[in-house]
Amino acid sequence: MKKIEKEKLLKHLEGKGDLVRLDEARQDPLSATKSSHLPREELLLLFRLNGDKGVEIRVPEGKGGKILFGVPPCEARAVDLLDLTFLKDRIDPYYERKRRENVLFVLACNKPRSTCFCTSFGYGPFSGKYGDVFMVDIGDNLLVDPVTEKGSKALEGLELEEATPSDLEKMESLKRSAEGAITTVNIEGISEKLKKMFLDEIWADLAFKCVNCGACTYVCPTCYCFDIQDVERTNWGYRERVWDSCMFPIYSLETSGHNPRPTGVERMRNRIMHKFSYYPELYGEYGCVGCGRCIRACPVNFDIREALETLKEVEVAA
Amino acid sequence: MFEKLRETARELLSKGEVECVLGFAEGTLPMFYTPYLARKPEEAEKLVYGPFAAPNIATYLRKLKGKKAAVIVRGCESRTINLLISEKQLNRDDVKIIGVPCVGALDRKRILKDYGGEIREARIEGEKVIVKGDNGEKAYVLEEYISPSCRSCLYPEAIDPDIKIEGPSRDGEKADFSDIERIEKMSPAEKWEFFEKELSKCIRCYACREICPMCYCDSCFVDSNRPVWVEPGFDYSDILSFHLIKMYHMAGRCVDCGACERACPLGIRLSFLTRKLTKDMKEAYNFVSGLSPEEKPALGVFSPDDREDFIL
Repeated sequence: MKKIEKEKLLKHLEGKGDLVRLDEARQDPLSATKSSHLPREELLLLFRLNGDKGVEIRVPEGKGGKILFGVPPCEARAVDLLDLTFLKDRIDPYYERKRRENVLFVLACNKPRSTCFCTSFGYGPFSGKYGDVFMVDIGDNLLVDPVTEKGSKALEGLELEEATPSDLEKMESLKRSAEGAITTVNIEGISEKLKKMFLDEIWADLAFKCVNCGACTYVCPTCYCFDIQDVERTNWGYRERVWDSCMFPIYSLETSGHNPRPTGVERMRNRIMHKFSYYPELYGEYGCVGCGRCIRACPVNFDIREALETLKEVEVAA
Repeated sequence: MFEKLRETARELLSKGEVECVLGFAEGTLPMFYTPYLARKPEEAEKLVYGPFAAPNIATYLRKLKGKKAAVIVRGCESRTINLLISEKQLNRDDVKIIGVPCVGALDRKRILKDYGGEIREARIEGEKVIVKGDNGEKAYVLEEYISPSCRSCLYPEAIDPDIKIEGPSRDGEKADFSDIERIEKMSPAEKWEFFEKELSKCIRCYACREICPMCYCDSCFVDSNRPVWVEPGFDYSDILSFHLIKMYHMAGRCVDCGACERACPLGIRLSFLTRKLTKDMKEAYNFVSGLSPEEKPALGVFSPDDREDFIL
């Protein structure tokens, strides 16, 4: 690993894109990482009636070009998970452009919060494989390590020093203390188990305290559900994509009036199933990164860690 | 300190007088009690009450329709029950009301902000909240950190409970509306700017709506897409429409429990709106919502003496 003073690195990044600082304050409840790739409201196209010429359609250029500085590993991992939805089977051009142009400077997490449980998912606060550049704040300097080619390019022209053994030792000690501060939830086998639990009575118990607001889904760095709306004005209008939430009744309401998820119980089940059963089934990865944002944002203290423990304890017929 | 309550709940459950007891239990986060339904006598051991209970528990009564339930309530929650009964959402005979003392609900977000670092544990000691965490141990005077809504509460204790748990409650004699008066004195332009700054933080997660016991409509105007009353984006006019129309629907129906404000993940001061409603209803109609289950809805009655000076 190399090292550099934080101020020098920041100065180097000046003018290379819109610098978004995530290292200064805790990004709660919303994080700029998800919104920089999937904004809560995004213009997809404009249309207008132009006299005899008929309807004119204009597709706006999407914009990336952000330098996200200080992204925690959990959120960078979350963007990798968003890729599975927006880039894998078919490419979403709006997302793709932002993903291609944004640069993620990931900062190892020295001080995990009480709600963090990232280590449950096979990575941790010092995992260096996410984003474009991996950084560790060792006090007087930042240790930096490019992860992608985009990352190497972003560091080009900088005079980087070689990290000393004592720097690396410092990093190891920070890593140990950070990892030690995180409570791991053992989720082994949960996705297979959930497959057999669709009709289990436990969902009603679990969903009791949930009031079905969308707070957890909106703060979640991996929740990507959206709604597409045509907004009509007099002789013009636009199509936009806005965040949506599976917690809302209208989310699954069909045109016929039928709602396959009529109550909060089915909606809660879907949220957990999607992250811990459907995502692993489709992509081989959990749809949760253990960042704990939903736990902090929930108005009634629904705690996903507790829910997972409860689900684990349920006895299911083989 | 919860022995009396737990004993009462245990007895109700073991004698089969009720199927369940609705209240709060310790949560997984410091300073946060979580809604809890005790269904077996031994589960009564988990029940707690106090300033760490953020939601209005009456919200959960709609999930218990058809069940014989006991519910543990503070003043505002008992007034909510009266409103629900007067609006025919609840039968008085279906609920056993256990009143608990109330010193106000904690404005948890303010303590989190003032403390700065991560809080790992908290407890109440006398009139103080003691928190421990990354910045060491600190004590906060509870009265200074209760929700703004609780500051103007005149009824901290449950009205006509079936069972009353004794204990010290907040002094309900002093209603402090000074922050609302400050807004009232602003010019229209200043008010607009003030509310825009506050409400533009809204992400439309509807936690405020869902946590509200009086927002029980099966289908909400914001969820209607035929016609679209409020567009789904984040235009300020749409955000404002949601909050203002919600407030119109709350006039005379809001007990100002402050649960919506405590539920907001963005920390929007919704009590600026709910407390103005409370203040106006009192001043214009001498009306306080939820004092009795027989009370007629404020906007459902007319008297020739009603004030008209605000009609343009």
